Amino acid sequence: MNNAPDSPWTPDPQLLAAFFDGELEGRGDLADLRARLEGWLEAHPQAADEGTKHQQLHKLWLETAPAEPSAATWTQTLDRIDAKRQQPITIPASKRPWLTVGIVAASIALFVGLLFGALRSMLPTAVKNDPLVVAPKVRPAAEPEVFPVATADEVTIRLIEGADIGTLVVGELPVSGPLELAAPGEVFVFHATGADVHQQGSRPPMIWARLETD
Amino acid sequence: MAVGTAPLAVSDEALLQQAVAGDRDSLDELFLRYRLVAYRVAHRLLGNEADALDAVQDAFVKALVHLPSFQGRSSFKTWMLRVVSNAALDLGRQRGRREILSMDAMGPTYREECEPLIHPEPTRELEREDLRRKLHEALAQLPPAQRQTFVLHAEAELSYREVAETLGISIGTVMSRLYYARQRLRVLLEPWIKPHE
Repeated sequence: MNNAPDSPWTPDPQLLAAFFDGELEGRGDLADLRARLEGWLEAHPQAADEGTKHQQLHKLWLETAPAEPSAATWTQTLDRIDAKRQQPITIPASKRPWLTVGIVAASIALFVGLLFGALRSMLPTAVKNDPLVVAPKVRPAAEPEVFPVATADEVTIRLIEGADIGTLVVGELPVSGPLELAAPGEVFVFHATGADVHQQGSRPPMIWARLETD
Repeated sequence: MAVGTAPLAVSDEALLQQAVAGDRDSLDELFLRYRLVAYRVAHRLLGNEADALDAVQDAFVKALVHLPSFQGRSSFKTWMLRVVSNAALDLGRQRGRREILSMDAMGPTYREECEPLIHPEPTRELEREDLRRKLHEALAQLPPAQRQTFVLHAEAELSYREVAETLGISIGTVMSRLYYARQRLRVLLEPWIKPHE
């Protein structure tokens, strides 16, 4: 009674299929497993049905083996192989990642350029075309200077001469309009009250705003 | 009088090296050795002769052009079968919308070119062709990985270990794929699977 063949062990269906495929044949290291499977199959005749289905599918497979091409077809195929292997290799675009990356990068650069151009064209003309400050021509600034700005109350115009009639000292902040620096000798400070006048050497910096004339 | 000697069997690897160097005879020999198994695997995956031959051609060209990818870690046969089965799957994907061509659709030219290994009676051959088509339709319903695994095992008669080596997968994965492929094929082909006579 203790030797009853109904052991609790049941082979995995995939292992059983491997057995039917002959994968356990001739394998010394799997001899025990093979013997165990054979014993289990003897004790479970209904499992033999699985083996039968296995063989039926295999039989159908063999019956439908593809017909072999003609000798002439083989020769043509071999000739094509021989011809193709002598052709230079052309790598399709999908196999050239560097080319793809290049194309994408170029596309992005083009897009950004077009976007920048479009935004620039949308800016007001005055802002777009005219510099806010014209740098002095003869004195490249090593570092930006901070100019003190006088208010209208601090400046009294005493004299404007000749060509400077079209210019006027800034009256109120913020300064607007095209600006330019006065040249040495164009500005003279006669009197200053309540403000520090910075003057270095003979070239006092001063921002002028061109008078709107129309 | 010259005494004939049996030609020494040249290894696949040596033939491949010589074929790559431009030796046509070596290419002929290599092609002769593996064309049929490669063709049958491709045919099972694609379902018709023309596509199968294209896959075989692609595989041999790749073998000759991309020799460095064959590093001798596997046999030439398993390497070739991996290349041809992958080529067949790629080709199948590219031509996915193409109808499965039947022998009738291919016309008499195709019939004339085919030289069946056995010449059965016409009625029997029609029945066989019908079965072939049903089997191909059933195979086409399997996931590509299962299909490839099953065809390499059933058609190329590779062992589990060889299939695993060919596809770069574990033997456990091979067992699993084969098991589920068979289960599915049995259901799909039930009307055509005959009990033992």
